[in-house]
Amino acid sequence: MNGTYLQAVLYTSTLGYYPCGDVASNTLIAGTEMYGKTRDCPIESASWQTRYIDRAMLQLKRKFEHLAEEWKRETINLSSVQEIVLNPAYQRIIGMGPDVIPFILPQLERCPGFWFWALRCLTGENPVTQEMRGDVAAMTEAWLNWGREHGYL
Amino acid sequence: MIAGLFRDFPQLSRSTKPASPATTTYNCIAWALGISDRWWWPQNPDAYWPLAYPEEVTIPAFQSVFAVCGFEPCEDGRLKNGYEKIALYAKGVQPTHAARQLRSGRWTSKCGRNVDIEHKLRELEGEKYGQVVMYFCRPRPSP
Repeated sequence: MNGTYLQAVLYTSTLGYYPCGDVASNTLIAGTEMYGKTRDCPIESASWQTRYIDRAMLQLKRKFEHLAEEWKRETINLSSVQEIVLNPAYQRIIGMGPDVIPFILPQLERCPGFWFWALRCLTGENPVTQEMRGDVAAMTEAWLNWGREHGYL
Repeated sequence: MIAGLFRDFPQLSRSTKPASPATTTYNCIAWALGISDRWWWPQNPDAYWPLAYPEEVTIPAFQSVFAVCGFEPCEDGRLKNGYEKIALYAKGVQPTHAARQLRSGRWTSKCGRNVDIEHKLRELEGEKYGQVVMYFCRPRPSP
């Protein structure tokens, strides 16, 4: 287990803890906090784990979308790729870990942008070749192909 | 999109109109050099920068790339018949943006992922791009 948020959720669920408060906003620590808060909640349905995961995923997605909008707003007029990727909202997205990869790739598909840095950080891979540098359409296509090959799209 | 321009560049005239759709295909440096199919920026694997030129976000690094495209430093941004000019903006010693002079004497800029606009140089100075720090010129290519 490498400690992503959803893995923490899954782990606590196998111990029989049911979510009854808000899912807190950050990765493993937040999952641990929730674990402590919810130990007395009853388990009433066999599908609660699914609901639990769906709900955690939804909250993660909302947080991602909020940060992505903030990032786009704050960097839309910038040319410096360093400034674009060092934006605090972008860095917080990277900090959310690999669980956000399924949210990033559709964003990239809808509206190409500088998600490449985050994807490299989150996946440890780089399908972009030297010849593609600066060709946003080609880099986007390379990452979308990577996403298809890995079952994200 | 245009609202984001007025927010980031409060000196920009409210009559400014987009001259292109917003796109990530090219950026200000490419646009200043007359190129519209790549995002040019040094020191980042996601952006194009000519091989063998310094991969540094410094004024000399930009100067050397402008030079290979025929632009040499010049004194000011005044319209000079038969020449086209580039104005380089920087925050301190770090380049942030470039604008190209049009035949009318006004300037054209591609603002990040946003639209192209026509403007006066001072209208884009401020917190986002800093100040114009250097001018470059080359003979205007034949139409």
